Amino acid sequence: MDEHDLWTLGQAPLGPAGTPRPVGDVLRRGTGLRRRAAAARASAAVVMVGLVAGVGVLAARPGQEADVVVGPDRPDVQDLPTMPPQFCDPPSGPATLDEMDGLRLIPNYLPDGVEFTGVDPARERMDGCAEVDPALVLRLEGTDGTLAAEMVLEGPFSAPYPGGDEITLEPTDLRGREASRVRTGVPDATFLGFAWTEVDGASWLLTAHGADEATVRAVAEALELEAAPIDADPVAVLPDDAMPDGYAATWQARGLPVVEGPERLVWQLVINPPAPEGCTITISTTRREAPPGEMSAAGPGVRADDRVAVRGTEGFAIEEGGIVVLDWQETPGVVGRLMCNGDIDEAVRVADSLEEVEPDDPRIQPGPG
Amino acid sequence: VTVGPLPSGAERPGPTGRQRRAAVTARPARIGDTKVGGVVGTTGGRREDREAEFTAFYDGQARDIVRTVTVVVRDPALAEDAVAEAFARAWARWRQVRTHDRPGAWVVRVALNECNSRFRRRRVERRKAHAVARPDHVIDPDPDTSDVWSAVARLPEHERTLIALRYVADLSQPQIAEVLGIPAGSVASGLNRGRRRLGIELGPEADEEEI
Repeated sequence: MDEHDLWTLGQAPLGPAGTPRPVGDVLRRGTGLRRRAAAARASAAVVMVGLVAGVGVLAARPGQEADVVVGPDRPDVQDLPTMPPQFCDPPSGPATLDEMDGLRLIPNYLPDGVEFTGVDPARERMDGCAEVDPALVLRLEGTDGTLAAEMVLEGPFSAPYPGGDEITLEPTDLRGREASRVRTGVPDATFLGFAWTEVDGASWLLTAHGADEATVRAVAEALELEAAPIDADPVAVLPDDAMPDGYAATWQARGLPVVEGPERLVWQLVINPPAPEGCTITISTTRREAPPGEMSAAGPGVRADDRVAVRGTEGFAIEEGGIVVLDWQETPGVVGRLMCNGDIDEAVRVADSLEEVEPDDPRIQPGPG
Repeated sequence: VTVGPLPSGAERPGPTGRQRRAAVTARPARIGDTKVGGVVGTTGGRREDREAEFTAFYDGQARDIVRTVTVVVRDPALAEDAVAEAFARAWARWRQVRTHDRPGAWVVRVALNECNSRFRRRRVERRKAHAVARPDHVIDPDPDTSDVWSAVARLPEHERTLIALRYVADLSQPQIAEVLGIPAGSVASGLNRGRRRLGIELGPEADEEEI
């Protein structure tokens, strides 16, 4: 026998015929596997928080092959979160001081003419208002170290982006399908974006501040999206060769982006006057994992510093029109937001002066009446 | 909070060249290839693009992989089922699988594992049914196929597996060692043993393959 004869094994009819199944069957089966994995993760999460005693039973029945799995199917696209509304005022009720462990912060320093007068602890229900972690955040730093541009991808959502006040949606083509070009009516605004729905029914929104339209469109075209990720697989990936020059990814959700809620505790400081003339400070619980803070504007007169050192951690600050918005993570699960009239250094000084107090501290007791 | 450099679906570089044998007609993609259908890294993020990429990978390699697994398990229906399941798992994790050094070899390994699982289940089911033990169901090679295939089908399973991975899947000996999780030396000795058996059965001994 010549060894060359062995190579004929790979050739029908000398070797086995080799008849693969139709690729469509394989794709359907693979998609089902991915969805079941997502459903199993969701079930596990539910079990972890103790809301459901037990779901997702895998049962092997006599005579059944492994490709038949009994258990919950993946939540359909309709089960994905909806985009949070542009403006939302979640219903809230009072909370006690004792509930505010880790949130009871009061300032030891405020700018001249600004006074801390009390606190307003509350419990907010996030029904219909739940914010969602972004899927992907790209940022461009300027030569002076300040933030020059930002792109934020949000999704997957169960319904298309509805637009909002002062938002115009113009039809366009993107990713081989109909999409919306998102603009704001504010003159000279550098905000723009694209909204679209993938063939699997999941909707996405890519918005940008300070980036030109061609760059944003190129990123949108190159995104690899997966609305039913396995385990901690990202829902959105931008291939390295599609990353715009100078940009870097600063956040990428692992698995489906975390949805806020269903409720959160809010420690609102009562400050007189509040922002924009004075200051507003809010400390709240959160389930979100993405670093707090995002660029809300870009253009002349807007100064933004990424990675502001505040309270021993990294915060995100943006200064526009004499108002500074400073976001930081106080502890895992607790975030702070401060808005003050002044500059970034002044805002950081106020934040750094925040001191945690006990529930019986006289400075936070309700006043008479 | 994790923030930092992030992975992407970037292409892995790597050579695809390999010795061709005169008896084999050139084919566009082989199981040991390091690229998926030649299109890795060229597609965008659309689901249709990923499907097209996977379909090209499937079209290029599924037939060879079914043949490979058929030679190993000697049961075309089982091989077709197992390979379909392995490809389905590949599609379920396509973002990771497409970046493997040899995604076709990954599918082969999963398909062989699937066959082993199904063999085990069959045995358990038979025991549960109090059936009389009998050998696993085996379909003999079609009488129209070659004597070589018939002779290979009679080899012990380990040697049959090595022959299939080497001469049907066209994997190198190091690649076979990786797929089976055994030392490369065991691959070489097993292949030599299998070729000697075939030589005895079919005639003059096969040429020793360079290692």
